[in-house]
Amino acid sequence: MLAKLAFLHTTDDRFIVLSEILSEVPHARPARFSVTTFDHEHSFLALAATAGLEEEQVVDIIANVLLSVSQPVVPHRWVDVELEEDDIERLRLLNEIVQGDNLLDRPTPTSNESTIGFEWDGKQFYNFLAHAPTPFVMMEGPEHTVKFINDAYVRLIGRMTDEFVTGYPIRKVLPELEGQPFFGILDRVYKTGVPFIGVEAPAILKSEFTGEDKHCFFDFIYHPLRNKEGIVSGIMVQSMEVTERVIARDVADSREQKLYTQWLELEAIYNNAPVGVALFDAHDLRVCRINDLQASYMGDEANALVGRVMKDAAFKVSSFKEVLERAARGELIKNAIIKNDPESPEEGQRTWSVSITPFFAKSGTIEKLSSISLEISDLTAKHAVTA
Amino acid sequence: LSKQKRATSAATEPFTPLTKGTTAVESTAATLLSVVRRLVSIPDLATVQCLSTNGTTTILLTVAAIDFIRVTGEDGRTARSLRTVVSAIASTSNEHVQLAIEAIDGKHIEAAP
Repeated sequence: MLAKLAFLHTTDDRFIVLSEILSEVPHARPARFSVTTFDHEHSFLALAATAGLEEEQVVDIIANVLLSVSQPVVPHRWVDVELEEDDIERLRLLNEIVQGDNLLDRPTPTSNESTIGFEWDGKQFYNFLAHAPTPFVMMEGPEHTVKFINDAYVRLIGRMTDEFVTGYPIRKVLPELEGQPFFGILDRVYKTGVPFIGVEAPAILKSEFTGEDKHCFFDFIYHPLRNKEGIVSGIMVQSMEVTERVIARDVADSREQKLYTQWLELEAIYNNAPVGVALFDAHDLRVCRINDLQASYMGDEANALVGRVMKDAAFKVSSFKEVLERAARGELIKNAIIKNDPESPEEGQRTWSVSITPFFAKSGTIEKLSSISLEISDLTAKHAVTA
Repeated sequence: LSKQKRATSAATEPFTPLTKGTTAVESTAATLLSVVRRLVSIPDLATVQCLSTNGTTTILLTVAAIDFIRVTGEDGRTARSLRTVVSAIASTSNEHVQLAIEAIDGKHIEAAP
């Protein structure tokens, strides 16, 4: 038997299935109507998916449930399915039978009838849309002839006036959109009555002001308008340009990627440089960053040194601390020669050429000290021998 | 989703229809694809792929970037509904299947929690 189903959900997330089940023999038995409430659409979806219906019917029902929840329309969408009595029972459609009262023909209360205490006529609505800062356009018929466009939409599509817009089919108004997906979507909304919501859709428009193509992105909705018989007779469009938002996000993504690449490059330089490299906090000489070579000069491992405040005893080479402190006072250190203090003759004398650059904050205070140390022990030894 | 999985997905011919009924998971994926193609604006770009990793089966649903929000819905509501459908169909064959959704541009990914 033929069953007509419609779906809706309430603000408290309950899910309602309206059904009209027609008898196989015309006029033999009156149609049965029911309203079945589920705690959530998931309960009904699970039933529909496992009820053993034909796949085409499962797809019909599930797709209409999802559309009814995500894009509700009034009048409701109806889906026709062939069901057996067992199927009706498995879908729990006749749990609450209402005989002889066609609930489906009852007018749906609109928000102004139920909650707003004033008349909302067409003229007020027209004025509201005409002056709204948000772009609106209304089109009529399968050719999508523009019947209403507000100033904001005229500006949005890059036209100076609505002179060659109102009264013309949208394909003639915006010929530059041919080949882009918008006309096809409009046709589909008109044909199916299913609204379409576009998010950050790219478009190319021709500006009457500059004569140039403008690449832009839009959030928009194509919402079908129905006549008294419930047949789609036009489409209302609300649109918003979001080009700046899209570009800003792309720039941020690109900047993040660039920073990450720079960080990788710096990391590679730190790890592979043939000199000791380190970054110190200028206030307490805390090690912020250090490579293995510099750590070995300081008698420890890099992982153990990062984050440590270098007290006097931590410096194997006391003169290194002295040049760091000079740099912390603002002095640029270039090729300062420092030597270690060997505790035993076996340890040997080692010599480094050290350069330290203080980094200044915007306030003028010194924040960090960047040091580069080149060991020149062999050179000084040879020089001593030669002398 | 790992890069490896996405690479596998990208290599799939986008217009190749899934063979129905080969396995329960593929049958579930075929039904899912039929439903999704009713929701999206560019049905030809909607594809599904069955992936199996460490004993977990995942159906990877790929749609055009413009349709991503249509198959995930506000706050992921439509995605949760699709997961309910997938779980329900798969459970009739005692299968446990996860659903991941991604846009063709790879920027948007909605993976199972």
